[in-house]
Amino acid sequence: MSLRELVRQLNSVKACRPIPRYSTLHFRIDENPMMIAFVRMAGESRPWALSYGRFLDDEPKCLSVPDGRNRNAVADMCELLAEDLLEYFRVAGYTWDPITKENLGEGEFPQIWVPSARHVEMFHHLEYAFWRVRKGDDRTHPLTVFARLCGWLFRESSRLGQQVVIDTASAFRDSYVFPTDTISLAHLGTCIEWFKNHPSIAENRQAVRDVARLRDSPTLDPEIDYKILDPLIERRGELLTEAKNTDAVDKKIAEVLHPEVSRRWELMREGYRILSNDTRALNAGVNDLTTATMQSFYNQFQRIEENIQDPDLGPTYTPHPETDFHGSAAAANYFVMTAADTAYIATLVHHDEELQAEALASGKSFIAEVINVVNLGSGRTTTPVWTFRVEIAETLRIRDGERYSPLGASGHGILIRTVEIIDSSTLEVVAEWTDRKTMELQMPILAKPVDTNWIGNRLMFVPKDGSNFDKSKSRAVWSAANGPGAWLTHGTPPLRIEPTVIDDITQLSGTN
Amino acid sequence: MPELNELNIDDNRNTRARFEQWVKNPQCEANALSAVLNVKMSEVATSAGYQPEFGQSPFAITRGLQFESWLFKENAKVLHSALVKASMLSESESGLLDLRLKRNGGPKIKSIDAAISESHELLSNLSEKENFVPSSIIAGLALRIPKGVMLPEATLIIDAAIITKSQEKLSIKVGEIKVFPDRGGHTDPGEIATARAQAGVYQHALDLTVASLNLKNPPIVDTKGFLVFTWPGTNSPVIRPNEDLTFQALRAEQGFERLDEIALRLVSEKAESDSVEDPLAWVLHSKTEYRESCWSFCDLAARCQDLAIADDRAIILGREAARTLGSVKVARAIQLMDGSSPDTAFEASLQTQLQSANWEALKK
Repeated sequence: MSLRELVRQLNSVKACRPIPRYSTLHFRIDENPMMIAFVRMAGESRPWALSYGRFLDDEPKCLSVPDGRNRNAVADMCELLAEDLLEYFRVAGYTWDPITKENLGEGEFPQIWVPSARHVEMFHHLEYAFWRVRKGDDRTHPLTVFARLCGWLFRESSRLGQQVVIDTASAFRDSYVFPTDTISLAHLGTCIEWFKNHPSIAENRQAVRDVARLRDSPTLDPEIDYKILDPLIERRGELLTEAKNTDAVDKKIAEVLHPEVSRRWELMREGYRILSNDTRALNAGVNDLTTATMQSFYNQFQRIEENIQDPDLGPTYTPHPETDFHGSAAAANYFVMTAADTAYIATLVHHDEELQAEALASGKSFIAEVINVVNLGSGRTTTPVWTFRVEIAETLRIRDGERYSPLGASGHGILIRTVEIIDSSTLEVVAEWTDRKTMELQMPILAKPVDTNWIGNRLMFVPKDGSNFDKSKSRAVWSAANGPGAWLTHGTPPLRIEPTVIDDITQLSGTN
Repeated sequence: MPELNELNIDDNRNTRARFEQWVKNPQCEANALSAVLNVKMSEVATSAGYQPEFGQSPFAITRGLQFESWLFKENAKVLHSALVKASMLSESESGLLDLRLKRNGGPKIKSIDAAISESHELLSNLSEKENFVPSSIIAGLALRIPKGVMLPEATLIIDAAIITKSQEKLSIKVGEIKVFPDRGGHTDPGEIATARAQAGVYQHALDLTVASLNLKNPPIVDTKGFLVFTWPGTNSPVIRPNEDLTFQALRAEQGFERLDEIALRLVSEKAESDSVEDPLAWVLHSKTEYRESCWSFCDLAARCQDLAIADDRAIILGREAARTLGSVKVARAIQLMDGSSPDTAFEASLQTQLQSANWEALKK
């Protein structure tokens, strides 16, 4: 935890309620996103019940199966979700208007909200459940496509700055600072409760604790399992053994599951309302992040689906849910993730005062006073070189070879050439302009970098977005079959050891 | 997820669970006492008027039992096949010695004492019988640790162990079975760490037991063990082979010693002050060391948080905040941040840090 974070927490205690963490919002809030909540049987990974729908829908759809261990019943339930979700994401083959490379930025931006991190994991479980295809199977079957989409959603959810999967509890933690510890904020209900107008912080804390008793994770409260569902499931098993009708028991099970999954969904809707009513502006950098998300959607998912729909388009690589099993894919994805890490703060910092303050406090940014401007270019080349003074802060990470942009001009860039200590409080830094060096800067004065009017001006520099370098490495690694490191990135994939999957119910009944 | 082999075991002897409970917050005196005296925190919480929240779903327990019985069914056919695939056993190494209690799905053992006796006999046979050909998979190997104040009857039951022959000596590898899904690189790191830690406790216990039996030609307790998880959504096992348990076993060794020291100290202190008639009250009135992570395992967490709130301790803002603020109360930290005069050198230092980190400084 940084000291700035502690200061924010103390300010939050003073205010007796959550306070905004940053000056802007760092994620896009779609007007009518898709929202999904899951419930699963304890010990199982596939859903037992699910609730989904758009924010503006009157009621979400609620689906459940009587026994969460029955793979076929769960598959039938998930197929209904699959068809709706594939249409919502405008997946090739499931809509008349699919997202393509050409219309990437047009139309509705798909965004999916889930209550908390455990629900995000459900996408991975769903991928595991329905991803497997055998030779000759239809790879365009809704459940199989859905599994690949879930796999992409799960992987994308861990890419910093992605805008497609919103873990609502995490969105609260990222957007606000709460007068409490972080662990308790893993629960969406507690995040929401802090926004209610309780008379005192003590009553607020009590209300938060009470609400945390109602689970928001996909697993149900063990007490409900013990007292209600276990007897019903047992009774159902007996009826099945006696070859009797189970409709009445099935109905009772659904009557327990539906309110549970609906409560999780409604919690999310309430969270959405709070977040969407936040008066802060959306950070202008989010548009770039949204574009990156859509590019990821197309490159990592939709392009593959297009190829599967039309094999003439070329071979396809579909990632395994567990790991890459493919050196080139692993290396390329590593650089994609690195690029996202690099780009995130560098994109947002230009539009957010609090992020700027944080960058200054952590020494990643600095304020410089220009003392000299020279042009070291020869002939028609222009190479502006600045010398500036920087006050030594408690933490300052400025080093030779690092790249920075002036605040508010993310396209411009300097490269630090030398850093010299003048006295105990001052550094003298020589930096060469490397990006947009002949184009005017807009602030604090309107002038090109080579202009000597810059002398005497103070301006802030923030880390330069160097993600393009990582992106080009990500592309290059695919075609590096004969280059250094090819033994690693283009080696023979290891043998996959996958078990024979046997239905749990079959095992329970002892027929295997 | 259920703790395999611990289900239905007499709690008085569930050593590993008590040890793991203590490890989660060793600074908390109440937690240490609860482990030492084997007093359930749920009972302490109830006596203090708080509602215990921990418990396992019957579905999770069923799933655990089902997975275990599936692994050991038909001479451990499924587990053997998975271990062979993971190169932990060869095809020719086979056989199952099932020492699980009958009530846990075992074939013949009726009591823990019988299981321990059979297990010790197995270890003796491995050492002393020249032509002894052991089964390669042992289910429910039961051990009794021969020491300790805290653990007069320290009993541990190893989920699964395998016996292999290397360089003319028999070696035993311990295994831990968990029903949670192995999702490759996405597997919950906390779950893996827990499984490794538990396997480390087993390995240490096996080391101690083998040493205490004074065998002529003792089997080697391998420092490498294995973990058994499930393939997501199925009961098919996924083996994580050759898990190096050296440091986990060391952790267990040091933990047990430390816990014994604490037990000795606490018991002697209490014996000097007054008689111990009600262990429940003793735990309840002991000093606590509240952390936010207590919510994940301790039924008394709500009471301890209440105390922390009443005392305005920094831990209510989280462990990191508590580390920075030390013994400074939250209200006092706010005063310092807002410019109150510091009373101590620590407060002065804290004030400087808080004020320099405050974003208004940027605007100056």
